Amino acid sequence: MNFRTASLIALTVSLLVGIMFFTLSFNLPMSSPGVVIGPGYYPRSLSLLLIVSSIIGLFTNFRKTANKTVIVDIPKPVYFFLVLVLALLVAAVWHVTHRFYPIAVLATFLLLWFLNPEPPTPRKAVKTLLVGSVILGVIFLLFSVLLQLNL
Amino acid sequence: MSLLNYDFSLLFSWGSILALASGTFLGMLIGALPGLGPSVGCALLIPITYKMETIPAVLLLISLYMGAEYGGSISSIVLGVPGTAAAVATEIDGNALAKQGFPGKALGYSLYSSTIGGFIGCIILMTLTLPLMQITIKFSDPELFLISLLGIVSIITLSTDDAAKSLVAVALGLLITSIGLDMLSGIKRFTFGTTSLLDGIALVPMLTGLFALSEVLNMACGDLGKQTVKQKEHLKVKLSLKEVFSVLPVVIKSALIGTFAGIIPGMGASPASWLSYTEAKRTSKHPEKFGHGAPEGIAAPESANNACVGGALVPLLTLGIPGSGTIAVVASALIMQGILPGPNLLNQNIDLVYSIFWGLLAATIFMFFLGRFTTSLFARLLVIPNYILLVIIFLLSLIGAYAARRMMLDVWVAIIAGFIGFFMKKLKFSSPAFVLAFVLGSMIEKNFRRSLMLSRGSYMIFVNRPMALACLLLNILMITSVLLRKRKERKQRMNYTK
Repeated sequence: MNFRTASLIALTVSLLVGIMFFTLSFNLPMSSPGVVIGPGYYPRSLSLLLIVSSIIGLFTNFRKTANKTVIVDIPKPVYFFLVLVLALLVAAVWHVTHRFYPIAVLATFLLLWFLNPEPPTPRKAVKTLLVGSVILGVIFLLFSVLLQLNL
Repeated sequence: MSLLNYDFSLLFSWGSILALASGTFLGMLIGALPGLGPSVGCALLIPITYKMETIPAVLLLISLYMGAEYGGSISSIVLGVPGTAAAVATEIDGNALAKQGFPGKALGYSLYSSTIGGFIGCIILMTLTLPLMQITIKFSDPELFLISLLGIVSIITLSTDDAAKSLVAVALGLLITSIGLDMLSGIKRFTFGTTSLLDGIALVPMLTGLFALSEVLNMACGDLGKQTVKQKEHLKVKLSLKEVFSVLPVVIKSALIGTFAGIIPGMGASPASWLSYTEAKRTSKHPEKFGHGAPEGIAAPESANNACVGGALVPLLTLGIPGSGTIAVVASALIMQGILPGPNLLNQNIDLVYSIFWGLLAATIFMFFLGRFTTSLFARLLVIPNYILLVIIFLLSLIGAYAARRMMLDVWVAIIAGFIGFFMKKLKFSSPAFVLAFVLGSMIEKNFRRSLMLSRGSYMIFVNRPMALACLLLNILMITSVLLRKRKERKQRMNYTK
């Protein structure tokens, strides 16, 4: 995708976010007892600012034809989505089970195995196990033992 | 009794020295761990201080505060994960310089600037506590609103790539701060029925996601077998005198900004570091180098956030008002020791006050030497191949996001912010503009609305008060100077094309 199209999509999203906040701000009072400016004033003004700046951005980026030649891409989409999906998975399992370590152990070994560019050999497996154990061990010692953080 | 007549045996007792050394070391460690800032560190040590004598107890906490402000820069520079909120500005240039293969240099700029900034903050605390208090006591809601606005104005005017995109980033950053319970009326705003959102979106997970998790995604797309640093010579935290002197003017100016921001209750180290960063960029001969490993970009925020420590003690010692969240924890430790901070402290317990002054100075020296000999160990992380580093940052980011408030919402916020941050970088939306707006957003709204409550709706409150007028003129001056500079640049471009 070229830079201009990607920018236009991003600015459209920010415009939609602005419209959403602007609409929702109508549920908030513009003034309340004892307060000159109510809780709705600030978000409504800012969502308006977001809408206006997004429209200006859309307009100026639409005119920038030079940006058509610049390409925005994700060089290794498989790894990008692997990291993103694992982050979401860790958060989801952690949220449900209230336990960080079981899913973190799995995510650590998976990431170390798949992201290591070396060919799959028994040596790579041993290295993954060793490095993963050291990382998790240090994290456990620092956060759970030393700082008493309940993970 | 003058400062020099102080009984130094109080400071050079084994208890005090041990408190200073351990406080500084623990501060550096806690600061370097994402999500755990100086407030959390001091709070963790409160139960220990209860059993200690007063002077070592206070020294332990203030040295931890000083050490943590520097420690925050270590993980910012080495891993790109801001250790503390005040170290986010350091991440921009610090991590860029580290990635160029010079983590030792980046950490060196941070250490030397933190030390000089800390020193200047101490000297100001020692010599100008009372006169400065006379000035800052005149700072109220209108002045705080205009100073916060100055931060926003400076970051918008400094964004060169795409002004509209910077404005979008600022508006979005400000808008997100309006989520949660309205602090003046108690009305829920954009909480969508969830109790987790009542406190709003926290700063630490937002920053962790925006900088650290987005970097993890970025690394996943790059060369995973690459080692950032191959030559171990580059790990040494060492600067030549020439390099120190090259950033000295910026360091001194930022230290003054940091001290002043510390003195004003409610400002704190995070806005101070951003204000000094933008000021350093604004006055730099090479603003284009900022964001690509400029030494001034590391020196300015680091000097400011360490100078802020001394500044934040001023209102506590003179008025009994804590200048920052961490100082509030220090104040509670004092109260537990049976000492009430405030004007009477200067008359009734001058030994303690002078112990704090000299102790803070000693903590700065400890920080320098501990930093000089231990920081390079952290820099060694960059010898590790990227795929291992990625896993370390990934885990630290998730824990860091959770650790500050122990809420799962924060982990989700960090992941979403990481995803958005990745594309913000790709599409050249200004992340610093977004972050500064997010840091200052609630301060702007709160002080603006409270100002109008004070004036019963009259906007003249921003003109009638001398300090507010000075701040307003500073805003106008900033906008005018940038507009004139842009006009000059446009003229030069036109002449060049002709």
